[in-house]
Amino acid sequence: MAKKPNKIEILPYNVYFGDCFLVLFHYQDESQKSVLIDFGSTGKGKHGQDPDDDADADETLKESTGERLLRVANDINERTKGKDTEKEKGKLDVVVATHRHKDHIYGFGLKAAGKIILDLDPEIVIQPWTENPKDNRDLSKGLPLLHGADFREGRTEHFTAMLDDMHDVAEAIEAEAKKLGNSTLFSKTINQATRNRIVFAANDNKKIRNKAAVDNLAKMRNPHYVHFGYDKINWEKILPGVKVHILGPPLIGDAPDMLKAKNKHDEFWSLMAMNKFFWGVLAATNSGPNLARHGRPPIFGEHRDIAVTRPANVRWFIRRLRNLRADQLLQIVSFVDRALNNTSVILLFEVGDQKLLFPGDAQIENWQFALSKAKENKELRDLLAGTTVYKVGHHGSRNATPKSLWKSFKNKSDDEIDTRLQTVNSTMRGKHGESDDTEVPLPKMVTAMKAKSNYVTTEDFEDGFVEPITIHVNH
Amino acid sequence: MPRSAPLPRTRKLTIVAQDPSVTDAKGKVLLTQIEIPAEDLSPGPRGYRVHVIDYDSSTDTFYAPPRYEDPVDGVYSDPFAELVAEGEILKLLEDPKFHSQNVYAIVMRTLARFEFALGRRVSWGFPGHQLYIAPHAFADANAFYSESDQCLAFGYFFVPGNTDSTAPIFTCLSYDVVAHETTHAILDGLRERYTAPSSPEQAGFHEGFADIVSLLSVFSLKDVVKAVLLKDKTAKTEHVNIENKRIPVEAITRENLESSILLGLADQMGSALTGIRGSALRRSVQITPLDLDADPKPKSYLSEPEFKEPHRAGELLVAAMMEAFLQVWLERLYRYIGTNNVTEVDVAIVVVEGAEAANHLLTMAIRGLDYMPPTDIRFSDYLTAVLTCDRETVPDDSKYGYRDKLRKSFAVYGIKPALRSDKEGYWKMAEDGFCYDRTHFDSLLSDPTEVFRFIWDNRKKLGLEDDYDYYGKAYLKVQSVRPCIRIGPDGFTVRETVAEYVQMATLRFDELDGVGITEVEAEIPVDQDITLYGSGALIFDEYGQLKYHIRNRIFSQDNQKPRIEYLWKSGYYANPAFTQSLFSRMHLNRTLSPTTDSTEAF
Repeated sequence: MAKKPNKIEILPYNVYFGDCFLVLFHYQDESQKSVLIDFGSTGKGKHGQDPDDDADADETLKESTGERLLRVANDINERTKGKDTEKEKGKLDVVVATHRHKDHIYGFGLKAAGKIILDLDPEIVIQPWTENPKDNRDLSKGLPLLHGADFREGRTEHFTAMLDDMHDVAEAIEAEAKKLGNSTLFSKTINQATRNRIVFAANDNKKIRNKAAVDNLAKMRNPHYVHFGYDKINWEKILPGVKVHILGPPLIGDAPDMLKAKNKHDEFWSLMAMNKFFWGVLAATNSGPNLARHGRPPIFGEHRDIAVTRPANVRWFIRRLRNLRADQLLQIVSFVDRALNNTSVILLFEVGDQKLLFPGDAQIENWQFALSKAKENKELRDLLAGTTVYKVGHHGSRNATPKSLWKSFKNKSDDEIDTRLQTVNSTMRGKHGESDDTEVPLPKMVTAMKAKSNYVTTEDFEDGFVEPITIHVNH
Repeated sequence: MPRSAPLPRTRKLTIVAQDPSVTDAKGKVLLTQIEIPAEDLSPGPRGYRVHVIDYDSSTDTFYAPPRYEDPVDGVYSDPFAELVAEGEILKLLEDPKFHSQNVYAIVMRTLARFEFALGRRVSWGFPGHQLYIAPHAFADANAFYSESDQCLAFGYFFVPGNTDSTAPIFTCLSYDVVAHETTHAILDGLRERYTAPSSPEQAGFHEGFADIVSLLSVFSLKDVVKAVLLKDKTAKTEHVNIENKRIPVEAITRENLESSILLGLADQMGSALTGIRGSALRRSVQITPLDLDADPKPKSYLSEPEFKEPHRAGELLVAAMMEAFLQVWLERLYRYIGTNNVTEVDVAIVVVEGAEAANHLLTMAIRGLDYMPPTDIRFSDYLTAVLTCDRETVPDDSKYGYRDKLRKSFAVYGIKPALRSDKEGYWKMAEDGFCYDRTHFDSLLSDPTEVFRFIWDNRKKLGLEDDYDYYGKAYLKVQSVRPCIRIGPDGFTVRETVAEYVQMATLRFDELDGVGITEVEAEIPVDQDITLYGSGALIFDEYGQLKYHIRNRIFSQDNQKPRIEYLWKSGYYANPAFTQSLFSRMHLNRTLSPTTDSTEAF
């Protein structure tokens, strides 16, 4: 008889702000298989602070981000040893890096912690198709909205070059926002809250090169760059008795259904977000020799007005324009952020009567494809509806748990019954968002989840560790 | 001392004809001189309607403003004419002062075009008189109008893989971009509620209308059309004999005009600029006209999900107007061919007729605005408005059949006259018998309070008396009273007064039934406040008698049900400020302003 897991353990580590989940599948013969989903953090800095700047963080959280991740890595090492606790190294079967944001992959690049994970010798590593260094599809050809001539004959770059472009954009934006907010340069600076929001959002995205982490992930064997419906993994060999469904991200160029619905605004958005030309323009506009460090040179240097003061009748407008620019920078950097979130891998593990849904930071635009498929396909619909464990998308932000998905979960219940839906949120209050509508986690979502599911949040265990959530599997 | 002569009314200034990617047969950037209202300019240039401030927020640089000389012997000079004459075009394009002049001149020409069509001064949509313009506002592939900042901001950007990657692309040097953004500013002054969230059509109207104005303005520039037609032989212009500059009669077809002029220009107009708002012209031309012979009742484009996206909806409007433009142009050329009995037509004639067609349609397109309801507009309202207004000025349309062509061109894109129009697609005229006894003719032509008095005295006859006893009490405000004078083809003036009023009523969601708005499919809390708007345009004739009452009823199931459902889907009721800001940003940058399905947000 084929081997099947009879118990699952889920460990949501508190890595400050970030995702790190260890999922252990236990078998009757006391063997186990392990999956690590993300290993990242943007640290514990509060909103508006540089995430690397731990000094300003809450005094009660003494441990630095690096120290915390090292401790987590050691714990993962211990827990993946299985029954042979004497051996030196554990064993990871699957590593998933849902997408390239620092709060999801930062730890993979750390000197000691990253090495520990690398030494756990994962059998396969799963990343979104956008990370494939060999993927060179030209999405401009698949764009139904735009004429071929809209795109210049670009160099045939790998798709990942777009991520470098996003990085450049975020870096330049951060520098520009800091300059706009610098009171020694400007007699009146831009709104500080706006400045902080830009710097904060840009910081996470300017790290998207995340070179150390990406390099370490590349060292792992058997990379799989996945998309909706990806079926090139022999799961039975890697995780016996576990069916793994890959529900995102959609592979835009190859999904005829995406193109059929041409021009529908959401698809249009996704297409533009995956558009090399678009990012190329942004990057070309925002990069330049030492631009981030020394600032941008004026385009018509010899024509600048060198007078120290500016005519009275232009001052009001100059101030407005600076603030307008700040809003624009925030808009661009939010777009970068969202585009990257939407490359998230969405995984659903099906084991006996258990269905574990891990959507990374996928936002509505990514989800929309799987949800539209589910509308036509009863099997997929039932699969999603039967979710027993839901890793709350994007740390509990408002755009990452589609309402219709939440509505469809049939294991929601007011009562604490055995089959009640388990929700797990890795989040940290006070890092993102300012109002009730934008706060992460979204207060009304947390309320709803607490009312209808067994809700666990990493905020509840500040020292980083929690007893595993144990789930018994019925076949 | 008595003056020797009156001050000049106009002056000529050099501009880039379309954008630096449109070149003449020799590959030189095409420049042209345009005529704009004359004024004594302060440094900036700063005139009575605009103030160019060349400040770059990305580099914190303020560029020294250009200075303009007073007229000599009654003539204003064109400061860059000398450089043009010397062929120093590159020098000109690298001078920020020229960029300032370029935007100033195009904005003033566009504004003058509106004032000419409407026969009155047109105000901006904000309290001030001078619109700020920043020709190098920031480093970004973006250009927009901001009402709260009272400005047009034009960005500059770089393109990867460009042969000269150090040379930025300036949005302020593109005629169509400048005219497009100026139109947003002017339209906002004429109809302030058109930027409010209401329907995909209303959201698309601003974009579509701005594109219509900018494109027809470009087609009325003879130099541009000529350059496109005489471009080196390409598949698109192969029917033009470039050597002798003539086109055989049999080659004068709709298809050839479309491919050579519309697509030809679309290909040339800064392809790099598509990053800003895509090529509206090209995408519009690519919408297939409906075959009404094969299927007289086809499915309307506007009911398809694709055209629920506001920019896409706007492109439908552009497609309809461009079709009308081609049809009028062809008609004019056929008349010329018929009268002169020729086998070949000189390109110059084709260009002149095209410019005339564009000019005439542009006037019609602008005038129609006065005949539109001030809130919650539909494309069908616009078509009816354009037709009706044109009939008032030009009762006899038999020469070129502009109105008939418009009706047909809009029909093949699924846009029919408003349901409230008569069978020919004109607004129904007002009935007789209004009470004028207690209002005064002179005041009625300029005073909002007097117009309100007229409305109050006639509220029953105007259909504004509450239809519903309890909830149906709407607030009403006269927004504007504008006299306008138009010159008809007979040389006589048509004098009208256009007054607009807006109605408002805020009800709880569960009170809507009480005013006949039922079966609204939206998950809105029952105690949610819902503000309903109604509005009307009152057109008084030269004797101060009401000629038309063009209205959107406030308590209307047909208007309000889709509006509320649309607002709900856009997330408006959950977060009005956010949605409002999304709408105002929508015109800034198509790409960066995704309209996520907010019914899915938690």
